[in-house]
Amino acid sequence: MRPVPSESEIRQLVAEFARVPPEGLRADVDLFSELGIDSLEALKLLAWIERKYDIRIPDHQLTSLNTLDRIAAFVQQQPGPEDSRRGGSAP
Amino acid sequence: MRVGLIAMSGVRLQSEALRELGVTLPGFVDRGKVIAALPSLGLLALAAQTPPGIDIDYVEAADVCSHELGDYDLVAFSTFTAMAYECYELADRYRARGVPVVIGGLHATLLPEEAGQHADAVCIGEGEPLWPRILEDAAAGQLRPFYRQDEPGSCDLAGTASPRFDLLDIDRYNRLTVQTSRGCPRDCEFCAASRILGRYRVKPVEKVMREVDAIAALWDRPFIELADDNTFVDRTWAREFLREMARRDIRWFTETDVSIAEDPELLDLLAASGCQQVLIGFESVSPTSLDGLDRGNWKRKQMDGYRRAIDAIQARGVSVNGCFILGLDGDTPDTFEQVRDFVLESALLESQVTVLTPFPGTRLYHRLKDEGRLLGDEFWDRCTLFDVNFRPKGMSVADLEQGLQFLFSELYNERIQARRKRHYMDLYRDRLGAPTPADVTARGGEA
Ligand code: SF4
Repeated sequence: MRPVPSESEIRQLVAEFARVPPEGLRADVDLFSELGIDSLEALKLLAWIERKYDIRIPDHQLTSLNTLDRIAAFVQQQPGPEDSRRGGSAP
Repeated sequence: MRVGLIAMSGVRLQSEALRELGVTLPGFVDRGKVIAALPSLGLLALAAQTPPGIDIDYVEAADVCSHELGDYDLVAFSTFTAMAYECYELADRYRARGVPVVIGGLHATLLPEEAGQHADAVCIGEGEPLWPRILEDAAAGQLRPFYRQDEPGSCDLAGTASPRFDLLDIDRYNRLTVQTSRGCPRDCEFCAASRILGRYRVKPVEKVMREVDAIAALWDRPFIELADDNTFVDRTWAREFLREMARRDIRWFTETDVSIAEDPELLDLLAASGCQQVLIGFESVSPTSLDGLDRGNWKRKQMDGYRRAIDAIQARGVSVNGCFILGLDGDTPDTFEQVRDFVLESALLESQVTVLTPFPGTRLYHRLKDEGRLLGDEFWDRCTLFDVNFRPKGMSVADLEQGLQFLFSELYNERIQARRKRHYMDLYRDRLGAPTPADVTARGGEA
């Protein structure tokens, strides 16, 4: 099993995409409508998170992962590379 | 003197069925909303050519009925074909109040006599060189009925003043426009933009960047839409421009043709430059339908490479908005399913389907008129890209209307949108290198 990523690590990632200081990023703010990440950047962010943690976000959740706390909760719940549907190498 | 510059804004749609469908479909409304929310670059450019001492007011008239007439000494309109009648209605109201009216833009350039029935002066051709003279004559109370550019397309883009973005209430916009070129050498039969305002010309990169920087100074997270017909025709210019954009933290969008996909270096520069999406007119996926569309049959020759091109561009993190035209002479009732299948299999992140539209002044309009296939002589309010104005060759008008509705419901729904997003993410993900947090650039770019 890989270690569960910390919230602060995910915060750092998301903050860089949103171009805001990590400490100023509220966990429940809508990244896309309030922070102005456009829909394409959102997909890149999610693709990047998938790649980094070797996980796969179900298609129906692509639009609902729109806040830092939702993204963090989703990533932290994932079983890890050896169980992931996509398989492949560890990050 | 106080001058009102009035832009007819918004997107129009006459078909009741599509209107009902369109407003509820995810993916369809997005681009329409974007277009509707763009300011009129042409009028902002005229504002920049206005001598000091003349007060300028920039207004967008989205709804003619609720538009309150301003207190002006002169009013200038810029209009597109679909909004021409609304523009005339508003112009008549101003004139009834004794305010002189000038009408310009593409539609007025094509049909100056028609526009002249609702204006004291019609600006025929590019507005920048004519505007100072119009203002002088208006101040002297001596407007002439027509102001015609000596040679169409002779305006030197290097010499034009930068548009007056400072006139805008900036919070109302989520994108601003910059024009880097005018015209397009491809000369598609249906295209109203390619030749009418003259030959293809580019604006020097240095001047473009001054406009880009002026917008960046207004916003923390600027998003720029290039108001071009076909941006990367001149590859030397394109490379210089993309390198300059890469030095700035700006997201942007433009329209281009599919040939960029054959140039990997250009695509890498494009990805590094902050470009988020390119809109490409594929027009059709049938060789018969593409045959004769442009003079050199260029698009027909590109068709076999469409899918490769989409993958090459999207893999770099730049999405493609693919445009398809229905009702071309080679189209049949089977075309709709072919387009649907292509769009889904190619996994374009976004797509736009429209009907062939005979805009006045185009070669298409004259041909269909000669063939007796136009559904009337004047149908400008139906030149919306979604309303049918002619008899198609390989199907009935009703077939075409229903086919368009079929494509709307097949392409713009939640399930399909999610599938397209997934494919785009997979392409992008496959291209990402070994990830570290430092790999995430400010732009969310590649490793
Ligand atoms: S390639 Fe596009 S801009 Fe150029 S002529 Fe054809 S439709 Fe018009």
